[in-house]
Amino acid sequence: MIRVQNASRWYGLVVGINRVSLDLEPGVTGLLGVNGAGKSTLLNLMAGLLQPTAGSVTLGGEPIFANPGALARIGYCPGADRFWEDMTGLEFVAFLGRLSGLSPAEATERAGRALQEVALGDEGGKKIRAMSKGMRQKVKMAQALVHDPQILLLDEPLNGMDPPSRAHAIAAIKRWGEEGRCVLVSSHLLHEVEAMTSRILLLHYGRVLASGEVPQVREAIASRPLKVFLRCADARALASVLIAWPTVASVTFAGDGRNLTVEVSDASDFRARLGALLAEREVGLEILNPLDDNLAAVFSYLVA
Amino acid sequence: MPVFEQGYAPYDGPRRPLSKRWWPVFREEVQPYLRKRRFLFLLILALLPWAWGILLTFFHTQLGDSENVKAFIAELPKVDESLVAVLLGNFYNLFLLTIVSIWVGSGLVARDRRDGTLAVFLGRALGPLQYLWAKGAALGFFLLVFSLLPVLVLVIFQVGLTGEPAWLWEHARVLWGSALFTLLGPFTLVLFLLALSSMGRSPRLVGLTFFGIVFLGPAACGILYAITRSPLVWFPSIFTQLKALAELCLGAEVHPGEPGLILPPAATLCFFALLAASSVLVLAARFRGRAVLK
Repeated sequence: MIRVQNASRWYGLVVGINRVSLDLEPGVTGLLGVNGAGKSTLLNLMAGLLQPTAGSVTLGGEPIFANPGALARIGYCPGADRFWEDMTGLEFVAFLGRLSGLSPAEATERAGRALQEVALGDEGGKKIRAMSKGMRQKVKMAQALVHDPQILLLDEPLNGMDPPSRAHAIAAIKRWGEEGRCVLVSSHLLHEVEAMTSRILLLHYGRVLASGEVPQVREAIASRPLKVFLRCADARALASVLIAWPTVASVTFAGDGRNLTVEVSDASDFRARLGALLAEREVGLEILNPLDDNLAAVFSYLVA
Repeated sequence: MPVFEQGYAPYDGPRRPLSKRWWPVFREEVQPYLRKRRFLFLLILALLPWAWGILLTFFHTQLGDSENVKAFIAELPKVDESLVAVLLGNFYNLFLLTIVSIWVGSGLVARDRRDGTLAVFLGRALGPLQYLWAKGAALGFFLLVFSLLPVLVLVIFQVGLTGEPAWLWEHARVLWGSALFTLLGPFTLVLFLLALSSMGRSPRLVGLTFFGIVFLGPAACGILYAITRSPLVWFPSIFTQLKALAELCLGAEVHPGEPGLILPPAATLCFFALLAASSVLVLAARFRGRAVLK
């Protein structure tokens, strides 16, 4: 729905993002990157708060920047606190609902429901000034949701939340994605992103380094063979077979001699060959576990 | 008991048209001031001279024929262009107008820039023009108390008490002159304060800057006037220009009989045109086609 085409944003001589192209699809996408990678810049461009220096950012073919029609379909949860502190959480969210075109009664009702959605029900009546960091985060999430947008852009929404609130927020974000909304969530915490989605967009120095499902991305990293852990009754016999395969780069014994760590250059070829082998011979395979096709490994291989 | 869907229900009800979304901002800007007693007291103070104007109308229309007070009342000013010029352009009215301008106007945009809420508002289907309109309307609403609003009340009392609608035709300038004064004076100040407020993040600093421009400006002009004796040195003084504008619009002197600092009408019109144009330029530079964030 949101299409970014060759978009660049420069801050004077400093590059925010550089020739980024992507399509934001329905469902949850995790936006990853180290500090200064350009995550917030990309979110601000998509939220229409920044104009691309070059390229375009469109929603349904229309530019987002300075386009109220497009902005009405977007809910943005900024990373920094942006409140009228003298209002209560409910008042603030309802006020922004009214700005988005809801009637006062409807805005108040939906603000209450949005606050419930992010687990801030009754505490939404507190003045924002008196709220903790986690509660403020929830207010920010609720204000992004109050006008029922199709697109949700969440800039580090879980910062400052306690563990139960995080779990609740993660479940809510997953649900929004399952409802068909396009949800883009930036975070530094890989395990939290992994809990929400397996689809990622990895930014580095303002450029898209990788995008797609984590296993696909992992397989595409040709310079780093995939590590697979195997445990079987006769590890030596299995190793002697595996080492002959062209896709196996190395085999290492570990532990009590029944454990193997295999480095594989082509995971799909390895899986096909192993499947055939298991069908052909009894090797007593007990455990088959890829060690580094998770988000943390992908992130460290690509960024570190 | 059935288990109901507890998920988030998409909203499919009516939405306010885009063109009317400025209203919540205007309301949120105005309401807090209407709850402040000190602010309301200031507005009441501003209306006191106008209450005197209404009393004058009452004296002339209801007691003017009474033999006991006839001579006394005959000496009192009548409600006409001269009285309205005095009420609009006197120091008391302009001073309170300035205080309210600072109180309400200094934080109009600066507060949103300081709190970061400008990005939240403008990221919500609210165009910069609507946003500025809402903010300007809030200040303009209060400045009406120092300009057109009390004039209208005075005129209503005048016509109501005399029962002579013809008064309106005879003194039409009271109405159109006041409207012109409001448009060129207070409303230009609204633009100026919006521009000034959009340049800073600290409402206090914006307020102090405006205070300095309004009150220290005349002091500097006074020193220059003492040296040069040219009335044109008063050109940049907002106070002097507002007074001159009241005289120009109503066609009467604010301080009749006193030797005034006479600025040419063209200079006054030129001043407000320049003030409005520069404010619009600043606002256009800061809002039109510019990213909300830098």
